[in-house]
Amino acid sequence: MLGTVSDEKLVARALAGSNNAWQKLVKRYERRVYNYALRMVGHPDDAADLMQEVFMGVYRNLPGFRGDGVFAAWLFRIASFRCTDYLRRRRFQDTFDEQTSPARSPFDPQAAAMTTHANRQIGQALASLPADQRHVVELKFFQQFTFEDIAQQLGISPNTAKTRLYSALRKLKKHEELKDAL
Amino acid sequence: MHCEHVQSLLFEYADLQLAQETRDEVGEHLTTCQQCSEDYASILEMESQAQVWHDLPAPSWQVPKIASRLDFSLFTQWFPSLASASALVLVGALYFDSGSEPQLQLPPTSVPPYTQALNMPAIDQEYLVQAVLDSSRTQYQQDLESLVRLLKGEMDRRSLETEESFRYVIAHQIQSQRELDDLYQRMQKISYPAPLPSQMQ
Repeated sequence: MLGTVSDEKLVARALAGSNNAWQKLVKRYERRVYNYALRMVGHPDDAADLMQEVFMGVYRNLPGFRGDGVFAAWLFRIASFRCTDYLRRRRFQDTFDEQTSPARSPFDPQAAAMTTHANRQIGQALASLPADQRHVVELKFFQQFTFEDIAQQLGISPNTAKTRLYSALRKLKKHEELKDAL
Repeated sequence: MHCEHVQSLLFEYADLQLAQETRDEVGEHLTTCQQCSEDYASILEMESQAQVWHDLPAPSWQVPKIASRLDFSLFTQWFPSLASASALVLVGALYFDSGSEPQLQLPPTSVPPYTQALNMPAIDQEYLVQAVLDSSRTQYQQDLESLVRLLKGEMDRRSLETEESFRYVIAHQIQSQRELDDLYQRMQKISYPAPLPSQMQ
């Protein structure tokens, strides 16, 4: 029977030593993870690095995937963790670099190969948000996770996730109003 | 309906997941409350923005090849235990090392037996104690540095399981350092015995 093999079956095969299953799993998600990373960090090179870090994390933790949840949610839990860690490291690096070189923009959608007008607009809007709010917007609107999934991925309560999302939406609205006024 | 309750339902309202009765109540509230109405508009706006995002292709990269079944099963079976055991050995070594003789690099003539040290002039005793403390500090510093190097290496390969083990190690390392500091403070407070009358002459 021809059909798409489920993530869980691919994971099981990969764990049994099938490199082919593992490669399929990566190919299935790499575009989604890359675009997630691009929206989160804003630079294509950084996004590529982050994508690789995420899959290396998945690779190392695959034996720990119990199969009692959805693979995508588990993958994005690792991605969220890596992304938070990445942004923290970059903030530290940027602070350090300020001592010796001109400050680098924390988010540069113009440089992010945002090929379409819509992508640029979204990139600029997300750039106006602090990382924790950007994360919730990303997971809710772009990855379409439930608040329970988001809460689990970010280690917060569903109510906090919801509150954080409303704060982000209000900030985005102000950002739009300010942009329109200029 | 209050705003707080409505806002907890707005996403389900937007996704048409509410029962008709609740949906009507939320809809009625939205016609009268500006803040909730604006929030709802923001949700719809963001949902439509997300739909127009144009996905970019992922850059090509070298996907790591998966290990064999044998490697994976051994890794799963032994790695957490080995990591924990290594951590315990390191912590234990640091504990027991505090009771061992420090490795002094003094010239042979300046390392008298312990009993003779008590009869040494105060200035020599002070020198000896200082040398012991310096050596001990150096030894601990080296241990700490090697542990930090190990931790960094391991953190590069960190996994959800090993992180817990390292937290345990770090907690014990901090405790060991505190004990070392405490020992150092106490040794500094030791008063040296007064010189014997025969030495006074």
